[in-house]
Amino acid sequence: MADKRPGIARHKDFALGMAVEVAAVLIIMAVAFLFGLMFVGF
Amino acid sequence: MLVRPRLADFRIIGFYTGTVVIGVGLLMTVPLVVALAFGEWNPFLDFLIGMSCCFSFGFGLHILCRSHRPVDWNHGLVITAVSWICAVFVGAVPHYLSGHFGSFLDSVFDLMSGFTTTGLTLLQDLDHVSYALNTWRHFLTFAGGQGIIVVALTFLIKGTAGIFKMYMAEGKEEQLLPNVIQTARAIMLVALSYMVIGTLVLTAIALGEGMEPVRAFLHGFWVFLAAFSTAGFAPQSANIGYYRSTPFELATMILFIIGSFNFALHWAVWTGKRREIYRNIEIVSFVITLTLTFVIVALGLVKAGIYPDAAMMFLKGFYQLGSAHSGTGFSTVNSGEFVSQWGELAMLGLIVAMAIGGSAASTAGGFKGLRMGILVKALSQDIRRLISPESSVIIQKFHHIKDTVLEERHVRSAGLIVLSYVGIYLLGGVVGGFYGYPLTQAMFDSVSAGSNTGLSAGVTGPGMPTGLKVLYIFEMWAGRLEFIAIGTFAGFLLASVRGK
Repeated sequence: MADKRPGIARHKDFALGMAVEVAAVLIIMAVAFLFGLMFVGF
Repeated sequence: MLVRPRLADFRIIGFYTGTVVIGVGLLMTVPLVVALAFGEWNPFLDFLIGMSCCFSFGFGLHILCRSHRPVDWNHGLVITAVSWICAVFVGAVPHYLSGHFGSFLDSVFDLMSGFTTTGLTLLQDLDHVSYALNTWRHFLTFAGGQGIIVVALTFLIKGTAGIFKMYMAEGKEEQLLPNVIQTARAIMLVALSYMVIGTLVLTAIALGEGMEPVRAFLHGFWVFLAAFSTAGFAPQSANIGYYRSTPFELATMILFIIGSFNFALHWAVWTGKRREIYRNIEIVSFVITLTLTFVIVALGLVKAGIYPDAAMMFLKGFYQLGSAHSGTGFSTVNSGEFVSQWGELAMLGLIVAMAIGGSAASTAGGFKGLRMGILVKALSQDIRRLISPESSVIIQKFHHIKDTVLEERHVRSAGLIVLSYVGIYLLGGVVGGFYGYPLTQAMFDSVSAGSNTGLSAGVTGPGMPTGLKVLYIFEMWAGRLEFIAIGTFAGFLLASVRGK
């Protein structure tokens, strides 16, 4: 079903979603980079 | 038995192909306005001629193929395959007129590379390209990344049953909302929201690094378009290395990794299902394969001894890997360094990362995280079945937006598509080897083209053999449309000749 809530509530959800995605990318980068370096004993 | 298509089938295909080409002509309004704003009169004329070609071709098809029949399921895939080819050939006119390409084929190569968000280029003297042409090259990566059919669905086409096939044929198998046109609009909403934020951030960083305001905005806008579309085009020949700015590199990295996420995942997270970000099989798959391929790259780079500290390892080694794995093609090292400094082991890590690529239903290419996840789950299911008592029932699930029981059809579909990708990667590698390129370089550039990545180990350039240019154009097209539309188009052609 299409989202019928008022615009402001949807926009807050969108902004929060964007923030969650940016935080997730930073965590993914940190995990992959640090694990990789540890594995090769850098 | 093959059934020969009727005239009415050709008319429907022609009519909707015309609509998409008209859409490409309308997109040229953006570089046209830029040319006007900066007083670039030659590019202005180039785009005016380009628009005229698109409108003549598009409206010509509308008049010749006027049809009121709705698109049915059989037409959708063929329309998408044909639309992409026509859009690339007609849309390449301003490229060719710009004088930056050695031949019309080189212009077509660049346009296919842009529309498929690959990023390989045969453009000459990139550092002196007009603002208008730079805008067009980057803008078409954005349109192609969301899908030119998605763009057309958003603005030009009214819904019919076969429209879903057209949408699906661009490698987007999922509907975000019940209606395919609402889905296309949701995709545009996500992309346009990131466009505003991403451009502002990159512009602010460029201003902070001392670039004058108009250039800072244009570079911020162009680089955002290429980053979020995982395209890899950049306005300078040194690519992202031109900016010599760690914040700029970090921002582009965040943007291209987000750009490689599935639009269904974006929509789920944006509409409140936040846990999806760590439960989704594609994210789990991406974290694992990014880590494993970084181990390979890091081993190679440690062996080569070229990056002495962790910061350099991140900004050079990890950046190129992230760019490769997300199917972007941005680089902070030049292509010669891969061969002369990185060595074969680190290049192998990049080749594997490019081959896997980003998420399904995203702007990225390659096998896709969803298919990797499904194949690993299927392997795990088979192993569990082998070590369990014969009477036991082994059920395997995977989570992508919702929990799904793994079935034979998922594994078969994932396996066939992965096999097709391996086929075109190998084909390009063998043909590159035939033309005399070292095999590692030939495989590197072939995988880059087939997975729509855009990194190059030095094979791709204006001087490369014509046969290899044509093959890479095919690889980019087939890789972007994920083979099904291409196969249907080939079947349609065969039926036209041999059908009854």
